[in-house]
Amino acid sequence: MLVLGIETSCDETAAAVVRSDGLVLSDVVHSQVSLHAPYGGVVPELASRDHLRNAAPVVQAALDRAGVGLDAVGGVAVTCRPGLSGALLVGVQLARGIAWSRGLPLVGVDHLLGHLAAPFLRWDDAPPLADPLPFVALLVSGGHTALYRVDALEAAQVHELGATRDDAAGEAFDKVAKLLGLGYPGGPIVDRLAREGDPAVVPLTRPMRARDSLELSFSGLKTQVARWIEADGLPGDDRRLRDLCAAFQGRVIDALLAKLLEAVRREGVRTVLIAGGVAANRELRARAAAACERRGLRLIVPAPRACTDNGAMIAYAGSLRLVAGEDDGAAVAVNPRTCLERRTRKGGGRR
Amino acid sequence: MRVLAFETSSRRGTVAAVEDGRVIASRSHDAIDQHAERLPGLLEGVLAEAGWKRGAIDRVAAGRGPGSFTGLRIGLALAQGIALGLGVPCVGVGSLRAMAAAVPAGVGGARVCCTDARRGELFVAVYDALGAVRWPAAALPVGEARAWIARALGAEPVVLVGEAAALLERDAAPPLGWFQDERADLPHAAVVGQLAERLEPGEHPAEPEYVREADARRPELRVLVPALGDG
Repeated sequence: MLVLGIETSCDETAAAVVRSDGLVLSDVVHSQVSLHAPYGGVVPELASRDHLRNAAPVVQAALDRAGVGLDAVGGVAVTCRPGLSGALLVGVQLARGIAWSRGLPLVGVDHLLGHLAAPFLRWDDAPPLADPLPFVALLVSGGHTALYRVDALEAAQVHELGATRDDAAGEAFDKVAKLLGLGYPGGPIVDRLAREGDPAVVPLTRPMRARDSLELSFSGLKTQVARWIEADGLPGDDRRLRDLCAAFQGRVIDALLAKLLEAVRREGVRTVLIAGGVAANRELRARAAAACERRGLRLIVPAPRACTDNGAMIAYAGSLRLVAGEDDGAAVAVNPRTCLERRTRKGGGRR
Repeated sequence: MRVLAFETSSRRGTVAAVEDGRVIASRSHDAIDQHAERLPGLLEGVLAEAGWKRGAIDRVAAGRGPGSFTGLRIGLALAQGIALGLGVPCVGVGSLRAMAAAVPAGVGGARVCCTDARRGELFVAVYDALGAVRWPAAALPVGEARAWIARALGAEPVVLVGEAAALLERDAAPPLGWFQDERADLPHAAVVGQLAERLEPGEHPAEPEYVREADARRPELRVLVPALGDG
């Protein structure tokens, strides 16, 4: 079966045509990053407006690049949660219209389940990966940071092991970049500056050091950076800036890897997935590879384009339900929260 | 020509089937913030009553506002999806224009069409009796709208259109003529469909006319590091 996937949950308008065995026939992404950059973050109303402007052309481009018409498509999958409600609505309404007009089944997909589908996608007729299940996943992006045990690619088979109590890791990168006047999005800029810095010069402490907890927190680290700037002054385009970026990024990755490896140890699985936009971070990729190799773990880090938001992951996650004959039809409803299990409460305190 | 039309810019959501100028079927709801949930049911009802198969639709249309930002997108995105699926044109029709067109030709005077823009404002546009734009849509504070109308139209005969015109009537000035009808009080898909039949799709895209800018403040950014290349 060929599935059309549509994704508009945040600042990427995306559509893809994917075969139910995971082969990606087309994958079109229109990024809004430059639209939001002057504001230092995603502006929901601007995002919704841009999605409506681009969603139909992006879907048409995905069909054209796949070289298929809608008559060859067997179902439509669309992100319906979590995300910005106004942005999600654009994709859901467009998908509803397409599915209704062609009499096709329609399924709503949880965006986080989509990210967890990354290891099952194949671009350019590459051979499929050996079955990765079960695995522990670190899902780390601008909107989400959580650890999951994944036994199957369905919501009931995904268990949260721990998550951030406050900011997502990518959000922390953006906020620190904003403090330093580095522009948006912060991740790639901080990553590049950190490579030229010494992580040992600025004394920042790693968040959530307690070994018995798999929960994460990044807002305190951001505050440490703000205090350091208050005390020492805003660094110019110099050595101090690079050392600070290296220290901040180093502590974020220390925390992510410590919790990830502890989760893997507890769950006793041999396969690890790192997905989401922050998985494009070079230091995270390199250190995770080294740590997994030392422990004999199989690490899957998808290519950057498969880590950031895309329609292919939504199409594949939806295809499992479509192939099983499911159809949400008119019942697809937008929700700002995930349907995956959540154990971590927001906010501070001991637990 | 068979036109399937949507109008979701106001608190009321409507779906209509129009064929060669005649309204074959229409359905509406006025549940608050329920456009996305209610449209599928209204759509099925309209199609069943019209007795149309999906493939028989020649054109899809939707109201383009001004109105609720999210409401507009719910109708327009659905219309775009259906048009894409069927491979037929998708046309956008001004929502205030649709209200003006609901006033019969025999009623004289410039049509001053109003909808509630919230935040103490009205969306207002003025059309002549033949439907041509006299003043394009704008958001005006309720207290200034009457003076604006007087300045724009002088002593010309005027007919007020839209339930939101009730907000103007609170003023002390002499009453203006007020045309009231189900299809004129709020924008209605039946009229959107009738107008869409006569419009050139390329010139009237199914895109919103927001009138208002998005609320967004630009922070002071000192950008130290220039935009990244592939480095």
